[in-house]
Amino acid sequence: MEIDKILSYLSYPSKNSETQPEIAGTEIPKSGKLYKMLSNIFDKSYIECKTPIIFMPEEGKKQNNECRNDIITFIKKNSIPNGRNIAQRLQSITSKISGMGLLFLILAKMDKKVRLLISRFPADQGIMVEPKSKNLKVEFVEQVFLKNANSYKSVVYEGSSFTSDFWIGNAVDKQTNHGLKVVANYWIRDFLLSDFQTTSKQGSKNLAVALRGALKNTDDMSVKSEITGSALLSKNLTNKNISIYKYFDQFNLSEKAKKVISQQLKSTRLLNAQFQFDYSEFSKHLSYKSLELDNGAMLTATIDTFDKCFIQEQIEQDKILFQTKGKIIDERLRKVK
Amino acid sequence: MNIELKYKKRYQQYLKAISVKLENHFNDNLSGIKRIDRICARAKSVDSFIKKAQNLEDGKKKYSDPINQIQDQIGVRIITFFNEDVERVAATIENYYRKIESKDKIPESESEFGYIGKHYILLLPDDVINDEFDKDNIPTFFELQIKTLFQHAWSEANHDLDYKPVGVGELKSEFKRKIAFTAAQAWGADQIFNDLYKEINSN
Repeated sequence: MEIDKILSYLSYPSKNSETQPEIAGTEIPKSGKLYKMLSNIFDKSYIECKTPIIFMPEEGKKQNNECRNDIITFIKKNSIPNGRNIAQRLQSITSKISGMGLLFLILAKMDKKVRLLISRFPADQGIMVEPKSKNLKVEFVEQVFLKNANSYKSVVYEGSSFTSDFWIGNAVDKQTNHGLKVVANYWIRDFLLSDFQTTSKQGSKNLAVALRGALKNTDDMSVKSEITGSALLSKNLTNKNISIYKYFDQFNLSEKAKKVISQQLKSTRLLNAQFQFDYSEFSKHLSYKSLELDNGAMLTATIDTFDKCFIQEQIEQDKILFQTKGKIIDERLRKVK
Repeated sequence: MNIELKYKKRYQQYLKAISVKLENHFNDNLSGIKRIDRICARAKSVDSFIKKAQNLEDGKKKYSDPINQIQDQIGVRIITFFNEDVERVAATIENYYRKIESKDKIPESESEFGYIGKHYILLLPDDVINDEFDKDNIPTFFELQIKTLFQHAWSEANHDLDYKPVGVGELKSEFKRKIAFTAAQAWGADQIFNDLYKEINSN
C-alpha cells in the first residue's frame, strides 16, 4: 500500500491542565531522509503492531467512541486541522512523565482500502526552542525525530467501511523502558479509549484450557512438570497484561512445552492476544494436579495444595513414596476410562 | 461479482462454519448457567441478506455497502426462562466478549406493546475463525439477541406475519391491535413468571 500523506504534530504534556497549548503541525514531503525512515516504520507496522485492540463503545450511545470519531473524520478528510484533533486528544492525556511528543499520522490508500498508522515519538525537550506558531518546520521535525527514531508507540487501523471497519486495530510499544501495563493505560486506554480485543476472563480461560489440554495430551513428564510448575506460579500474574507468548517467556518454558501448549489452541492468533490475567478464572479451568502411578494409584489435589497434601520421598531411582494423612469425607467408585 | 454471488460465496465458505463454532463457543462459556432454554447460532441466509440489503430509509437505500455494513450476517440467540435470567446471562456475556453496542429493544412509549429483546453487536472471537480463512472476507462483528421464552415466541410469530401474501399491503388497524394485544400478553406472562420465581425462591 502506497503512502498518500504524512502529517506531524508536536504535542505537550497537558494532562489535567486547564489551558491546552496550541499544537503545531505540518505535512511531511514525500521525499528525503525523514520520509524514507517513516516509510520504513510504516512498512514494519504490518509485523510490529501485534497487540489486537478494540475501541470501547460509549455507554448509551449507538456504536460510538470519540477517539474513533476523530480518526474517521481524519480519514475522510486528511487535513492538518482534522489531524490536530487527534494530537489534541493525545496532549490532553499526556502527563509530564511521558513528556513532549512528536505525533505522526501516516495514511496509505489502495483501491477502497485505507491504512492509518498513528505513531508517537518522545521529543527531547533539551534540544529545541519551542515553536510558537501553528506551523511546524520539517527540519525541526527531522531533528527531533532522528534523536528518538527507534523509540515509539504505534497503532494501526485498516479498512474500507466506516460502519464495521476501524473498530479494531493493532498496537505496539517500542519504548522498552515502559512495561506493557504502562502502554495499556496511557496509549491504549487513555488515548485510544480502547482495550485488548480479548477480555480478561476469556484470555485467562484460553490459557488455562490450553495448559490443561497440554497436560492431558503429553506423556513427557518433564513437559508436564514445566506446565504444572508455571501454573503453580501463575497467581503472581494477577492483573498483569500478558499473552500466551508472554506466558511462555515469563516461565521460560521449553520448546517442547511451547509446542504442546500451542497445539491445544483453536487458532494460532490466540498466541498473540493480550489480556489482563484473571487468576480466579484461570483456576476455574486448571485447578487440579493429578498423578497416576504405575501401581494403579491416582493422586489428585488442587494445584496449589498438591505438594502440601502429598509428602514425597525418593526411595529408588524412579520410585517415589507418597504419604498423606486426613479424614475420609467422600468415597466413590468411578468407571475406569 | 454482484452482491448476491459475493454473499453466497461468503455464506458457503465461511459464515456457516463460523456459526457452528460460535454456537459451541457460547455453549462452553455459558455452561453451568441455569434456566437457559437454548442457544443457537445461524448464518444469515442469502435471501434474507438480499432482502435486508434492499431496505430503504427515508426513500433511499439504507446500505450503500451491504457486505460491510450489515452486522447480523452471523446471529446468535440465547433464550432464557425468566426476565432476570436475561440480565444474568448478559453480565456473563460481557465478561467474555467485546461489544461495540448493547441495546434494550423496547417499544417507544409506555402505552405500546411490541418487540422486546436485549441486543448486542459483538466482536467475533479469534478462535471461531480457522487460521486458513481469508479474514478480509469475514465480518468483524456478529449480533447477539437475548430474550425470554415469551419474548422469543412473540417475535417469531410476529416475524412470520411480516411475510404476508403479495398484494395484502399494509396490515389493517384491527390486525395491528391484535398483534399489540399478543405482545402485551407475552409481556404480562414474563412479569408474572418472574415474580413467581422470585417469591418461590425467596422462601
